Amino acid sequence: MTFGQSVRGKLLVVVVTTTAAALLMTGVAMTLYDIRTFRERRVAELTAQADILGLASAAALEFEDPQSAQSYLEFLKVHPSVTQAAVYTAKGSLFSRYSAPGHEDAEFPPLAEIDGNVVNGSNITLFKRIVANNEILGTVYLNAEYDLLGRLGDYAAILGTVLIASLAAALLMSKRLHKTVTGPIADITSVAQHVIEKRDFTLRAPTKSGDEMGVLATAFNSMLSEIDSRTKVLEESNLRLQTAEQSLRTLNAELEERVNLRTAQLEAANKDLEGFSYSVSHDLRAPIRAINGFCTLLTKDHLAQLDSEAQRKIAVIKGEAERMAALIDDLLAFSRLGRKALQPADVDMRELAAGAYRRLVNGQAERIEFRIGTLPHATADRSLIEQVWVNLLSNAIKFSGKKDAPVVEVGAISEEREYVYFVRDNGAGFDPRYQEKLFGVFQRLHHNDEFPGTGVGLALVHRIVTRHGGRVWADARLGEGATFHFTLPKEQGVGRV
Amino acid sequence: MPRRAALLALLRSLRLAPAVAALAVVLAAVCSAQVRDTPPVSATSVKAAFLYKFAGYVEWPAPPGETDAPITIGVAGADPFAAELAEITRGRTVAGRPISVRRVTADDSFDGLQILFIANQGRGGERGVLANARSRPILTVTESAGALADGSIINFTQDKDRVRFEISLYAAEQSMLKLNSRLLAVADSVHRGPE
Repeated sequence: MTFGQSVRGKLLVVVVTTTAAALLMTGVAMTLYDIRTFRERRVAELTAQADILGLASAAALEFEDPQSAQSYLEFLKVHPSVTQAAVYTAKGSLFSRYSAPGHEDAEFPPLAEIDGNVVNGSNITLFKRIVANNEILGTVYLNAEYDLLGRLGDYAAILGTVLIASLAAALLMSKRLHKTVTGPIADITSVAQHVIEKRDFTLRAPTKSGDEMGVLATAFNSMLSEIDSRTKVLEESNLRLQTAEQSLRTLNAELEERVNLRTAQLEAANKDLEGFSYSVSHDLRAPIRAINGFCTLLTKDHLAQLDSEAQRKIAVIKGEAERMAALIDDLLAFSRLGRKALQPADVDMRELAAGAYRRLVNGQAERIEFRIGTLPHATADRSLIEQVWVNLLSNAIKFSGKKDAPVVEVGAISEEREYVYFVRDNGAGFDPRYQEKLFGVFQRLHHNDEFPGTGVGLALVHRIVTRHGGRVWADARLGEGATFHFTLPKEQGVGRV
Repeated sequence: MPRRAALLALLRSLRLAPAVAALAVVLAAVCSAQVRDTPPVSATSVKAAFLYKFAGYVEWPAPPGETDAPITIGVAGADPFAAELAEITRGRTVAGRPISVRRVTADDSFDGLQILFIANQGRGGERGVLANARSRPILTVTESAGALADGSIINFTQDKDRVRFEISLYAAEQSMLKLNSRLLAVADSVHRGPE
């Protein structure tokens, strides 16, 4: 720390500056006062001397004894500043005179007309009338040095000496006293530096001084302890957080692993199941086909031996066999769906739905009123979505077929993230209580005699739509028709089942 | 001197420097003539002046009552002196008291006198007067050599042209008079004991 930057240096500067300023001001004030009064005092002094001389010389003047007056004037030798003195008679002639040593050559001025003093450069001259019994006996004349500059110089010298001595004293004193002021500051500063360097908040500054420094040190210490305790709390909570995070990570990893394991198991099981159902369906087809084929052969080769009743029963067997074949086909389609990858493309839903409807009715059911609105295009697997339309429309046609004025309506609503397509009919409807069963495999709400079906169609719809990331649901009341909704997301790329 | 100042200003304006210088010389001469002492006065006049001035340095025993009564100076044996003194002291006061002058003879009563001047009347001529005035509060002033021995308090002497005086403190004390020390200081000699 250089001089002036440390507190000690600043204090020193303050002490020296204030001392010097106070001394200078005092000195200047005293000098000014003295100079102001110096002339007055000098004049008063000289006037007093002149009065004494006049009083003493009165008798000498009255009785014309210059020697006596001269002897009085000689007393002025003790006042070296008085260079000339004289007593004039009332008529103005020199009565007696005195010249200080070294001033013998100076001439005496003529008598002034009135009393008074004149300051002329470094001289002061004074005339004083001697009066007795209302008569002017004569005049005392004094000429003295009036050395204002010399006096100023004396003052400056004294002031300078005092100033230097005082400053030296102040410096010495402040060197001794600085410890009481700057000591505590230095203590706190060093503690603060240690705290910063070592990050050790257990350090404490000494608080022995009872002034503001002591208060500061106490406050500093309490802040340190506060920081210390906060730091400890923070560290503890950090540690706890880390532990918790660690365990969470472990748990996550475990869960992930378990999920992966389960997924793999599920996938394997699913694959097994699909393979199983495929092979079962596939293997079941052969005997059905055999039954069908032999029934055909039976009626063809042995028609003569079969009466009409036998023929009817064989026709029943054949029909049941065909139904079973259809069932197996549906099952195969359903299980195939799980294995085939989606091939999304832009699909004109209106064209698709209208085409599916045309093929389904095939010109037979002209009594059905078919209404189709504007359908937005979707990004989806065209063949699978066509399957959805076929299944939903065939259901609608099937369940409304028994009505006097069947109506099948197809429409769509565009929502924020998805398109909602629906197929509505005014057919048989169903009891809303069985809604959950609606989309399960082989779940049927109507008897086969009433409305024939395999019970796979809606399950297939559900599976296709969910594979596209959409949802399926139905609103219905028994005997008042049903509305089937399915959604397709506007953005493609959502999960698979 | 406004007239002189005006004249100077006029001359200055006329640029007559030599004339100004000449005038200044003349004026200086006139002034110095004015300042020069008047010619020496006669010894009689000096003595008369001294005589009345003595009154300022003498303290008489307090007279009953009247403090502003005139100081009476008696003159014995010198009529011209008395006239001169009367001339000088006319209208003058000492310590607020006017001064009156009276001619006296040796046989007169000296009552009411504060100062008595006895002129030189030849050898021992003033002895009778002095004896008459002795032991009274009267300042006796003489002008004969050795008169102090005869009981005079102040005696004029002559040093060339200068009039001086000598004092007998003893005689003053006999007459119950107090003399100011400043008077003693200017005296030629002060006699303190009986002659």
